[in-house]
Amino acid sequence: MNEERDEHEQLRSVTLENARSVFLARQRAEEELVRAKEELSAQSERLRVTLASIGDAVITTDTNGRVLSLNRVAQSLSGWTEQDALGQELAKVFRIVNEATRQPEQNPAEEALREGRVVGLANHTLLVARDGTETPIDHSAAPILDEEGRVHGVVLVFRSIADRKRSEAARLNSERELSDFFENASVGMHWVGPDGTVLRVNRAELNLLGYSRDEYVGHHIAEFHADQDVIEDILRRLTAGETIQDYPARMLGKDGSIKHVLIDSSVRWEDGRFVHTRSFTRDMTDRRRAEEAQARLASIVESSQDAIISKTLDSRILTWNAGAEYLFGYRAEEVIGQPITLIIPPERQDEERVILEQLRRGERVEHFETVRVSKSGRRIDVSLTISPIRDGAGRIIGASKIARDVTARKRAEQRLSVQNGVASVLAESANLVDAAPRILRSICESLDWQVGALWQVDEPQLALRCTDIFHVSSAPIPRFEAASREYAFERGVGLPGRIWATGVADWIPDVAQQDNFKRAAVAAAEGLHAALALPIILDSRVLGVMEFFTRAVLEPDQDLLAVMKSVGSHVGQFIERRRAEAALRDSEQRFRLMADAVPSIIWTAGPDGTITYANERWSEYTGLISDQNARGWSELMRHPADDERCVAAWTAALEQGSAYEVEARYRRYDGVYRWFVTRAVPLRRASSEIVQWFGTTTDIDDRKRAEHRTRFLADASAALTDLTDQESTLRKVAGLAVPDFADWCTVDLIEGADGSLRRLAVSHVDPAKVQLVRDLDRKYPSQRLEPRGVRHVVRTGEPEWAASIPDEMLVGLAEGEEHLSTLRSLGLRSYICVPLKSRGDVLGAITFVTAESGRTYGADDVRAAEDLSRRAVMAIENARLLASLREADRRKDEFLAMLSHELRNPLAPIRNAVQIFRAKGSPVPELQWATELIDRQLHHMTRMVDDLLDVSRITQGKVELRKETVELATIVSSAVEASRPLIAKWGHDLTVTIPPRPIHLEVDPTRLTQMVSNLLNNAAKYTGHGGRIALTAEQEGGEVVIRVKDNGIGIPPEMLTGVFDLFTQVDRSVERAEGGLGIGLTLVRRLAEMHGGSVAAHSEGTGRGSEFVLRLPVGGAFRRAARKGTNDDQVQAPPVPLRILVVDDNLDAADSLGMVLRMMGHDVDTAHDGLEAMGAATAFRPDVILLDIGLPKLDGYQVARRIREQDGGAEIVLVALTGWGQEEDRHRSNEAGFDLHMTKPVDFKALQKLLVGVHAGSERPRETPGNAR
Amino acid sequence: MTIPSEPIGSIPRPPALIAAIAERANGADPALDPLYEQAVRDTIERFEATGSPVVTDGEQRKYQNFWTYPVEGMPNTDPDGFRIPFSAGHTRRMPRLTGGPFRYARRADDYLDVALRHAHVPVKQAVISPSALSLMYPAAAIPGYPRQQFIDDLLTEHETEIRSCLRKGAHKVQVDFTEGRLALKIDPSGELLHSFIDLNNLALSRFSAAERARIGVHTCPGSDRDSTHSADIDYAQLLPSLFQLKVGNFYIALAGEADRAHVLEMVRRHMKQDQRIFIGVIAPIDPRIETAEEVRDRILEAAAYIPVGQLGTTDDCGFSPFADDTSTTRDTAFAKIRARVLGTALASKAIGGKT
Repeated sequence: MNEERDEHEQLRSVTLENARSVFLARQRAEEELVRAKEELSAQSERLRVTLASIGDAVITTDTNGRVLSLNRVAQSLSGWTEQDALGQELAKVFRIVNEATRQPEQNPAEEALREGRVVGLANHTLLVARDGTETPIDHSAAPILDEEGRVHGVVLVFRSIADRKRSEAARLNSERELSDFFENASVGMHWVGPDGTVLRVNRAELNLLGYSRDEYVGHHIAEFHADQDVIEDILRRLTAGETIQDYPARMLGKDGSIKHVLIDSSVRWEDGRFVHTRSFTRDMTDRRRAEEAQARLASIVESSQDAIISKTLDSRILTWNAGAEYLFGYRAEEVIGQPITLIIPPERQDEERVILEQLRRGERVEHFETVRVSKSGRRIDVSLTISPIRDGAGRIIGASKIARDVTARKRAEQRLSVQNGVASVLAESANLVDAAPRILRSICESLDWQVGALWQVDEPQLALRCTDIFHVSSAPIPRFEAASREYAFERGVGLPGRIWATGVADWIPDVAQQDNFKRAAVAAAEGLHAALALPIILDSRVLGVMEFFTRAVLEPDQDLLAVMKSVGSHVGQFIERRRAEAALRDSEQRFRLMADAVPSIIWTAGPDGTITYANERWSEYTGLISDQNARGWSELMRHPADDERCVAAWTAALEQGSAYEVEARYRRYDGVYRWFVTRAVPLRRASSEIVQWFGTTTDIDDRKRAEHRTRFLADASAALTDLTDQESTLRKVAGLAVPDFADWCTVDLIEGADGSLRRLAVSHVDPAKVQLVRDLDRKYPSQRLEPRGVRHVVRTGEPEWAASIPDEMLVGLAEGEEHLSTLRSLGLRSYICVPLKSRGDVLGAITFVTAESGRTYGADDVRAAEDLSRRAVMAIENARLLASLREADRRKDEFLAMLSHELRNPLAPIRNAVQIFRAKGSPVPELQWATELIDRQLHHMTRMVDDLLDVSRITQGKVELRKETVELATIVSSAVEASRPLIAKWGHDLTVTIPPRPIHLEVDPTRLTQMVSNLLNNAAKYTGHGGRIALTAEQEGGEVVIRVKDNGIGIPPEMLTGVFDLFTQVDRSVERAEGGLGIGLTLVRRLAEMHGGSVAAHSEGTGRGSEFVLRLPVGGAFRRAARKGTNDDQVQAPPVPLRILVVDDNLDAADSLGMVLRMMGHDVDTAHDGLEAMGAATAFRPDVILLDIGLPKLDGYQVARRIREQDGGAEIVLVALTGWGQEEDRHRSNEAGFDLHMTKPVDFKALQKLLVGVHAGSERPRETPGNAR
Repeated sequence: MTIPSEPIGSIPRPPALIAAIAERANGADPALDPLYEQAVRDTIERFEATGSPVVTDGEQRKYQNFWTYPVEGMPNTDPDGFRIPFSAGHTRRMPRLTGGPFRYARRADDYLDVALRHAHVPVKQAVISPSALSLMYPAAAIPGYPRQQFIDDLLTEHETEIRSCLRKGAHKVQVDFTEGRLALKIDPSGELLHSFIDLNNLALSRFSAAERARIGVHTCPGSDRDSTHSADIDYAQLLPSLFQLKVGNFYIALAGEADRAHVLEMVRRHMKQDQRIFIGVIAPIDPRIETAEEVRDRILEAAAYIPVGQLGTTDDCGFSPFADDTSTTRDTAFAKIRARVLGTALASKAIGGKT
C-alpha cells in the first residue's frame, strides 16, 4: 500500500513538473499567437496601402454583400466615395450591365459568396457609374476564406478596359481591310512563318489545291509541294533575303493532282526578324496540260493496237498507224494516198458511199460492225468508229476511222449462242423427242449452218438411225434428207458410224470431196460442203450422233469442235436424267402401292420436319383426305396431353438428326383416341446431309391398354394395403381407376335392410363433371328395379359388361327428357359393373365407364374389374378387422387406467395407516416388522400400479419426455440407489463400471433412471440368491451403451424376441414373488424408443445368464441441467401448524390421512362429499385443502371452482389428491383452479415439503414435487 | 435516424501470436510479421462479419499494449518507469526516458496502412495521448535534455502521428486518455488532471476545426485482465474537465458504471453542441455477452439525456488493451461487438424507424 502511495506521489511529482513545461509551452504558443495577430494586423495595413495604390479597382464586402472597403480606383470608376459606399449593398455601388444586351449582369461577388470560389474574368461588361457614365471593365471576385474554409466576405477586383477596347477596334479594322484584300485576291496567296509553317492562305489558293483552311494553315508548306528540293530551295533563298519571281513549282492538290504554278515570294522583315513570307501562286496547270495532251495523243495513236486511219472526203488515205499495218498487212507507204476501198470487200463497196454521206452531214458512225479484207485476202470481222475531221473554221475536211478486229469475239458469241440455245431447249423439253428438232434448229441458226441431223442408236439392231433432220427454209434438201433417213449405219461405218465408234467429234471441210462419205453425191447435188459431227455421250457411252452441214467449204475450227463436244455431253446427260426421272416415277409409284398396303401409317417429312407424304392408312384412320392438313396432321390429331412431350422429342430429333420414337394418342375419325408408337429415321446423302425423314406410326392401343390395366391393378393393390376404413378404401379405388382404366368410376354401397344404395364415390378427371353427376343423383334418386345397371348387379351379385352403351339403355335409365339429354351429353361408350361381395354378401358395386377416351371394354377388362373388386373387399375386411383390434386395444387401455385408479384408492388409507404406525412407534418387534413388511409390499404394489399406468399412457402416446442435459453417472447412481433394496434382498453382488470422464445425455432423467432401474430389478429378480450383476456404461461413437449382465436363469432362445412384450415373463414360478406383471421390460423398450434409442436382450440359453443392452444417442448440448427446486435432502419438516381440510368420500382414506396430518402437528378437518367440503371450507377456513376429485354431490373440480370464487378462496392452497394421474387429468385440475395435482397413495415426503413451503409463505407451489408428476 | 457506432480498438490476439511474441525478446522481430499479418486479416474479416460499420485492426501489432507501443525498443529508455496498479492486484509498468531526443520508435499510421489493405469498411485508428507518454520523463531532469525540450518533442511527435493517420484515410483518430480518472485517483485535487488536459489541448490546438471533427478522446477506468485501475472514481469529477478537450468526439465508458443515469446527467450538463458522445454499451470486462435488446435499452436510456443527433455507441474499452491479456476470448469479443451493432440498429429503429 505504501509502495503504491509512493508510486502515486512520484507520478504526481512528474506530472506537476511536466505541467510547468506545459505551461511554458502554452505561454509560448500564446505569445506566438499574439505575434501572429500583430503580423496579421501589419499585413492588413500593408494590404490596405497596396490596394489604395494599385491600378485596379478593389472592393471588399462582408458575407451579406455590404461594402467594407473601396480603393481609390474603385471610387473613381464607380463614382462613389468610400464614405458613401461603406455599408451599402455591393449591387448598388458596383452596377454592371452586359455590353451587348444592356441587361443587368450577374454580380460576380454574389456568386463568389454563394459558391465559395473564385469567379473568373468577364470582358463584356459595362460598369454604370453613380452619374450614369459607362466604362467597359473586366472583373473577378474571390471569396475571403479563413483557415477552416469558412467564407468571411468577398474581394471584387475590376479595371477599365476602355483604352484596350479602342486599340483593339483599330487593330481589328486594319486587319479586316487586309483580310478582305488577301481573301478576295484572284491569285493564290499564302504566308509562311520562319519555320516553314503556313500561317495564312487565301481562298484562291485553297480553291486551286482543294484543301480547307484547317487542312492548310498550321501545316508545313513542304507538305503541299511535289518536289521537296524545290520548296527547300525557295525557303532557303527567301531566308537569305532573296525575292523570288516566276519560280516554277509543282504543288499537290488534295485529290492527288499536280498543280503547276509560278511562285512570287518575299519576306516581311521586322527589326531584322523573319516575320513571314508573302507568296503569290499562279496556276499554270491548264497550259501544261494542253501541251502534254497533244504529245500524249500522238503517242496513243502510234501505240494503239486498233487500226487508226484518216482519209480525205474523196476517200484517199492520209494517215496509217502501226495498228493498221498489223491488221491489214499493208505498210503506211503502200497505202497513203490510195483509196480506202482497197480494204473493203467487193460486196460491201457500197458501205463507203453511205459512210461518206453520213460524214458530210457531220454525223459520227459508232461501232459499225462489218467485214474488211487484208492484204492477204483474209476476211476480217471489224468494228468501225468513224468521225469527221474539221478545219479551224469548222468545215469538214476528212474523216478518221478506227477499226478494231472483232473476229475472235464474233466466234465466241457464236459458240456461246450454241451453248445457250441447247441449254435452253434441254431445260424446257420433257424428253428427247421434244428436244431433238429444237436442238438441231438452235445450233444451225447459231452457227449459220443449213442442215442438222440426229442419229440414235437402235439397240436391237445395233445400228444408227436418223430420227430427226432439220434444214433452213432457204436451203431445201429433199434428197439428202431422204438418203439420211434411209440409211442405217453400223458402228464405224460412214460419218455417224465413225463417231459412234470413236466417241470423238469430227469435221469434214467438204463432204463432196470425201470418198467415204456415203451421201456425198446428194450432198454435193444440194450444195452441202462442210460437215461437223459430234457424239451424244454419257460416261463414255455414245447414245447418238448429231451432224451439221453448211454450204461453205470450211476448215476445221477446233474451238467450235470443243464446244460441240460439250453440247453432245449435255444432251447425253439430259437423256440420262429423263430416263432416271422416269425410273423414279415408276419407283415412287411402287413405293406408294407398297406403303398403302402396310397396316401402319407410313409417312415422310422434309429435312425441316414438314410432312411431305402419308399413306392411305392415315386417311382411313383420321377420315381426312390424304393432302388435307398434311403439313400439321400430327398436331391436329394428337391428344393435347401428349403434345408437349412429342414436340420436344421431334424438335430434338430434328436438331440432332437422331432417330425419333415416341408413344402418343391420336384421334380416330370418330373422335376416339388410340395409342400409337411413332418411329422415324433420317435418310441422308453421302455428305451426311439429311434428305428426308421416313416414319411409321403404328397402333399399339391394345398393348397400352393392357399396360394401363396392369398398372391400375398394381397401384390399386398397393393402395389397398393401407388398412384404413372401408369407405376411404373404396374412394381410393375409385380415384385410382381414373383415367388409366376408366373415364368414370362410381362406387355404390348398400345401406339399410331394404337394399337401398348410397353413392359413396364418383370419380372423373374433371371436378365439374363429378359435381354434375352428384347433382343428377340428387335430382333423380331413382330406386327403380332396372333390368341393367348397378341395382341389377347388386341384386343378382353378377357382373355386367357392355362393350358399347346403346342409346336405348340411356333411354331406359332416364327419368325424363332433360335427364336423358344430360346423360347423352356425357358421351358414355362402354361400361363394366362388378359387385363387391364379401363371404357371399353383396356390399355394393363398382362401376367403370368410358366416355371421352373412346375406349371399349373387353373381356380382359372385365376380369381386371372383378379382380379389383375381390381385392377391395379383402382390404375392407382387413380394415374392419384392424378397426375392431384398435377398439379392443382402446378398451384395454381404458381398463388399465381404471384398474390403476381403483387399485390406488385402497392403497391410500393403507399407506396412511403405515405412517401412523411409524409415527406412533411400537416397542413390539413383531409390530415393527409387520409395519415394515406392509410398507415394502405397499411400495411394490404402488410401483406395479404406476408401471401399469405408464404402459397404458405410453401406448396411447400420452407420455411427454421432459428432456434435459444430464450426466450419465448421475442417472446410473440414481438407478442403482432405487434398485439397491431389491438387489440387497437377494444378496447379489453388483458391480458398476462407468467411464471416468463425464458423458452428457439429452434425456428425461426420471425416465432414464426408471429404464436402468427396471433392468437392474429384472436382473435381481431372475438371478438366484447371491448372484452377480454387472452394470457397465460406455460411449461408442454417437451412442452411450448401458449393459446390465447377470448370471441368472437366462432366457430360452424362443423367448428372446418376445421378452419385451407386455405381460411376458420368462419364469412364472411361484417362487418369484417379485415377478410382477411383466411390464418392466416393455416400459424400458418403449421409453428407449421414445428417446431415439433401443434395447436388446442376449442370452446363451436357460441357466446361462442374460445381458440387456440399452443404447441411447449422446446429447449434443453440454450445458449442465439447471437445478430446479430444492434438494429433497434439505427438506426438513419442522412442526408447522396449518389448517388442513381433507376431503375424500372414502372414509378410511380421509380419516387416516387426517390422523397422519394431526400427528404432524396440523389442525385437520375432514369432509366426505362436495357440499360438505364447501361448508367446511367456509367454516374451518383452511390454509390447505387436500381434495379428492371423484366426490358425491359436487365433484372435486366443481368444489375447487366454487372455492376460488369465494372471498379469500384465492388464498387457499388447493391440492387435488386422486387416483387419476394422467396428463388430461392434471390439465383438468389445473383448469379448475388447483395449485397441485398429487396421485394416491400420497408420497408423505412430497406432502411434507409442500406444507413446509405453504407455511413459509413461499410462492404458491407450481412445480410438482415428488409423486405430483 | 441512424446512430453511429464505433469500436474502441483492441481485440484479443490469437493464442498462437501471443505465444510466439512471448518466445521472443522483441515483439518487433520481423519473423513475427506473417503471424501479425494473419492476425490482422482474420481480425478485420471477423470484425466486418459482425456488421460493425467501422472497424479497427484490433491493435494486433501493438505487441505490448495500447500505451507504450510508440516507445517500445527505444534505446534511450529503461523499463523501470511508473507502475499502474489494477484492481485485480497486478500492475503494469511504463518505460522511463533516460536521454534525449524523444522520437517515436513507430507511429500508429504504420498499423493503419496494413489495416486499410484488408478492410472493406472505414477503419478507425487509436493513438496514445501525449499526457500518458509525458509520464516517461522522470521527476529529476535529464542532463542535456531539458523537460521543456521533451514536451516540445512529444507534441511534435504526437501531431505528426495524428496527421499521418488522417492523411492516410483513418475514419477517426482516437486519442486514448485512460489516465484521466487515474489522475483523479492519484490527485483528488484535480491538479494532475488539469495538467493532462492542458498538455493534450496544446497538441489538439495544432489542428483545424475540420480535423478536430475527426479526432476523438476515449476515457475509461482502465481495463486489463477483467479489472480496472480507477473505476472507483466518480465521473462527476472527470467529465467537466474532459469536455474541455478540443476534440469533436468523446468515447465514454458507461456500460460498466454502477449508476449510469448519474453519469448521463453529468454528460448532458457538460457536453457542448459540436461534440458527439459515443457511450459505452458493452462492458468488455464482463464475461457475459450482452443481448441486442439490452444494448438497445441502454441506448434508449442515454437518448433521454443526449440529443440523438449527438449520440453514438461504442464499447466501454478495448477488449485486450494489454497484448498478453487472455481473460477474454476472441469469440466473446466479437459476440459482444455483434450485440453492440444489432442493439444500435434496434435503437435506431426504435428512435427513428430506420436502421
